[in-house]
Amino acid sequence: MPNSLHFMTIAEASKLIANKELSPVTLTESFLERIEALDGSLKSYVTLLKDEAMHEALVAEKDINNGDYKGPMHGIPIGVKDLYDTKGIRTTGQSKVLENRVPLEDSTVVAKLKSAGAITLGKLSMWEFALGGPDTSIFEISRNPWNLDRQPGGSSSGSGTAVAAGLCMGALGSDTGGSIRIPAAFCGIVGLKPTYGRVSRRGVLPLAWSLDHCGPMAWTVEDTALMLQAFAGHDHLDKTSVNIDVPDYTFNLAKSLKGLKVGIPRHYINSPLVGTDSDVIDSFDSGLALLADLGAEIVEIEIPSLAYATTANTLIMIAEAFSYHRENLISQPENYGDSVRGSFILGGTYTSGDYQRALRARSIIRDEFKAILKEVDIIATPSQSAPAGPFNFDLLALLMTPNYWAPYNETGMPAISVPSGFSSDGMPIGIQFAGRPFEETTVLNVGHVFQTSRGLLDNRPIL
Amino acid sequence: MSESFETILKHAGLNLPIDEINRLSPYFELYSETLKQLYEADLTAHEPANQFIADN
Repeated sequence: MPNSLHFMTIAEASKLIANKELSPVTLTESFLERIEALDGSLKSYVTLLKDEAMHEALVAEKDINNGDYKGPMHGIPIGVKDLYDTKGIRTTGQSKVLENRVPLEDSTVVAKLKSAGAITLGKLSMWEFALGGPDTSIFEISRNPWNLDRQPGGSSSGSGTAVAAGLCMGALGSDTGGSIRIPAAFCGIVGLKPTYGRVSRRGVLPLAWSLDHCGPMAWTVEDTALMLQAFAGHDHLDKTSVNIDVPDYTFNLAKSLKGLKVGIPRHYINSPLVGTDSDVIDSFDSGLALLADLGAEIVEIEIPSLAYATTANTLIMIAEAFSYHRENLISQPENYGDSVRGSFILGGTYTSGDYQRALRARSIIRDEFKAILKEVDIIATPSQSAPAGPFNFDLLALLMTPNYWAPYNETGMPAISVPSGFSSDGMPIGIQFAGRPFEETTVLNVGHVFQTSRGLLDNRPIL
Repeated sequence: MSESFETILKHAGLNLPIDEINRLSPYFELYSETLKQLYEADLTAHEPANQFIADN
């Protein structure tokens, strides 16, 4: 058995649990002890569910010992972003506006994970209402485990921090403009944004209804596949949920990449408007060389609409967010942090004509990606334009800076961020793979083969 | 610009204090400038479809 229980993968732990070689109680205790020791400085948990987690672990152990093993998530300790409703447990979106909100029901995703036997260690820190940046609201902002003076990325910041630091085995994130993939890249872990409609959003606080996605974050691609397996699927209570069969996400994980066509929008990566850092480009190019060595065919592609994809995504996001928050912005503006309040207010300044214009742009973006995906199987880009920086960034300016995440919220395509390397000052860098709608299996396959060949799996932050 | 910003805010139902208007005015200008991209692009032939996924 590995010495460090907190650095085992879900796949490793689940095999030991299934064989009764590892106790869910021992595993959960180990994580709670590590949280106690480290989270005072990392600030990843906003609500720790110590007693509840230990109770769930005891139940899991009893069930498994009685022959009722539920599958790979049974007995696995996870963390939940604090915008997923949890029955009887405060769910705030990290905002003073919802400081005392206690849901009466679990969100569908949390309910499915509970049914699969996962153990919830606690609720994780995030950027306020899945958008706010460096402001401290009712809770502190989590730190990046690779350098506590750097931000972990957001908005699923606590999820990125907790997984990277070994404070949970996997975490739930949400992604409206990169909020799973950014902290995954900044914290050196894996983050998967599934296809729009693949995972239920019922019981998840919205940011922008037409762009919001729920998904898993974990140390390995294989672990995100195991998590996704537990909660993907149709939910008749979510009108955006799509009724398509859920495949076995681990079946083709290790399939050879020979013949896989990987498209690279080099014109965008080299654009001065994106301003991609040289360390990021170096890491990306060496990642492409690895993919070629693994048998993939690398081809350059042109996607002209990328030029305005970020603008359209931000417009749609903050306009929809404004419509959701308007009453509270009028009645209790002081309860919002400066960044999130400012962005929502700016969302209210767009006209219906502007919003319509952004939807037309989105339509072109979708059509261009659809055409490209007839020529290539996967589109690869860096996961970020720069490694994680300090906390004093300007969110409102950043929202209009061209990025690598927005197109996949607009098109709904599945996209994953996988660790690719490190900057010269030791901060993680990720590579992003996006695929055809509902072809998570292809995205997970390329991500898994890349990750297991890249040689970074044992690189953990020193804490 | 700030007068126009204030007018738009009022239209949105927001009556902000002057220091908040001053804080957000530069961003309003930035966002308005960025918005021009969408008006300069040829988008006329495209319906603002909501079915992003269904026909894939």
